[in-house]
Amino acid sequence: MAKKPDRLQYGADDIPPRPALLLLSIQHVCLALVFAIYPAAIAQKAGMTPLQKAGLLTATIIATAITTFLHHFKPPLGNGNLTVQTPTPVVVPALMQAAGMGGLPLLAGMTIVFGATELLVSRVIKYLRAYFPPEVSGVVVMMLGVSLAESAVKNFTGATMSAGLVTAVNRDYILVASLTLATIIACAVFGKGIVKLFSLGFGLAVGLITSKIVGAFNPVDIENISASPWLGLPTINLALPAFDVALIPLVVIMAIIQCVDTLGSFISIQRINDEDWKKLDTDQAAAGIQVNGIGNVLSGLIGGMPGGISSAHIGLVMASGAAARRVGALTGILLMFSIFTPKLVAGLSSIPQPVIGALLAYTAAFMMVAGMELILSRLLSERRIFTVGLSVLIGLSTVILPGVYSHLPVLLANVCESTLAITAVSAILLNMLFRIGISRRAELPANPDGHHYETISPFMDQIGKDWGARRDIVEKAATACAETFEALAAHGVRSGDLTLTVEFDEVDLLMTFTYPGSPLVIPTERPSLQDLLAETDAPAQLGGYIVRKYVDRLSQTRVGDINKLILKLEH
Amino acid sequence: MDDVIEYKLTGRLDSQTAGHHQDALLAHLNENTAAIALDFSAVTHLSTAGIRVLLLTSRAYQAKGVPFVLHSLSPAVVEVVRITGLADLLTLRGV
Repeated sequence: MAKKPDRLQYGADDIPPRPALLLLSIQHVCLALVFAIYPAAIAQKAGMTPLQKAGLLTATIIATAITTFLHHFKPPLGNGNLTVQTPTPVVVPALMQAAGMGGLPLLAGMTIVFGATELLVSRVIKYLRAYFPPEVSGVVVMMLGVSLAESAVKNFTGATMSAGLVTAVNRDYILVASLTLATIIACAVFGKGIVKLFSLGFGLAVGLITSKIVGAFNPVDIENISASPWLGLPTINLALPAFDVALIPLVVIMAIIQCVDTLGSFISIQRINDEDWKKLDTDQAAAGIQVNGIGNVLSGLIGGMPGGISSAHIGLVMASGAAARRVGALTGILLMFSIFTPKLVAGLSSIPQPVIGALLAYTAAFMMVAGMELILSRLLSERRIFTVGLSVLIGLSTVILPGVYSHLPVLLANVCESTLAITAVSAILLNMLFRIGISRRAELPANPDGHHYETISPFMDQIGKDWGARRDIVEKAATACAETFEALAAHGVRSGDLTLTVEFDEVDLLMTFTYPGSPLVIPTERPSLQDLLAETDAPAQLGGYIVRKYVDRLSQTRVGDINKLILKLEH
Repeated sequence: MDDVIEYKLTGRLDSQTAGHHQDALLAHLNENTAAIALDFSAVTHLSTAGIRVLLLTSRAYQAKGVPFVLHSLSPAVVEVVRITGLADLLTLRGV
């Protein structure tokens, strides 16, 4: 049972008063609509007509609305939290390619492939984590930023190209894009609370106003907005989905990356909702991924793009202190109502080119740094440094030498010519290759002088690097082990050699102390000050108490004279 | 004129180093010490034995009315303080 933290006004199962419920839901809807930028960018890249753009956007909103609503149900129907679905940037480069090659039908087909992959992955996600450690996901997220850079810069500058060279840039576009980006950055850096959370929305507003002033709107889009009624039936493009075998591997990889990213979102959500959070509830996360998959298959069937659980909305949950899943339900319903406002949909699908450029530039920059952060969250051994460095280099080869893989068979060439796909495949394969020969079990050699923090810390650090364990967990493990050695010595419970064995399986870090002697006393309450100052065994008991507090689970077993003390840290 | 003693600890404060620090800290007990301030910014590990030395020496100084303050706690020490509730037993600054 989750313990609601004090900072949360409304926990997942709480029911806020109606006015609060409505206001909170409207905030989530406004934030969700900003993410229309991604389908708008795809539509712009593919040169879609206003009707096609509106159809893509409407279908995407319908799918995200239904998915957001479903998420509020408890598993297995939903995930039982306030999670809002928005179009995902992970798949934007691949869908730009798909829309360029085969228009809306291929875009719809690839969205179905994306959703179907999520449905399959939801069944096995807990076993896949070992193949997608943070350095692999981090490299892919970082290169996603690199992949968006070209579209970002071209839209930002309004550059016209000839034979691969820039022939002109549009100064008005640069002005609009610069003001948009500056607004986003100012709100994100100097703003607090809601201003910070809505930085993209404020940037979008400034971009639209300045675009109107300098005339950066497409005249056809302006006509379309004017002609669209405030209330009316939505536009949907029901095209028979098309599939291109050459693009499927790329989309499948992106869907798996999205699933791994969703696990990260669930860690954040569960931490927000549970004061005593210790471990990811994978059943809840799998249920969330399954709903995402259903929503994305539906999105493809009605001509939309894929979505994912929005981290910006998780930020809004934290800032507002409202995690009530009923807010998610109402957000889904209100999002669904928004498609009956054709003028709003036409406006969102007509975001001018320089505004798209500025928002993509922000996303690209954010992704690059988020990827770097993910990579550096783990200790890096030489093997892992090469996994990261070589896969980035291989990914960049497509940017430095476009067409370098064009001589390969078409199926392979499509994957290799995509910066994101070749990076992901390289990182996954290099990670698997460099895992060969690494033992997942290590033993700390006995020390005649006894072990202490300065002999344990380098040992834990080295195996942490070899295994790519989380830096914070390794530091915690070193401290817990040092304290255990000291407590065992202070207690005098040991009558022979003590060995420490450490095992790691990506999910748990296990530390086993084996020695002849009696079990360590591990109190549940801290000894009193008087006891600690007295010449009793209270200081040794404090050691046991500290060890208990440091680890997630602690157990002792005894066979004959041999005692085993097992400490477990969840990874 | 009474002095404020600034005592900087480095590395670990555990069973192997606690005795040395206890002697060094108590050496100032009979001097004209106005207060004693322990700089913990460079401490990498604080164990039970270290905690006990801090409690004993703190008690000894408090008995003479001399403030005994720990300051600039490193992240590793902050975590131990949080777990053990040491803030209730010792005077901490800049945590």
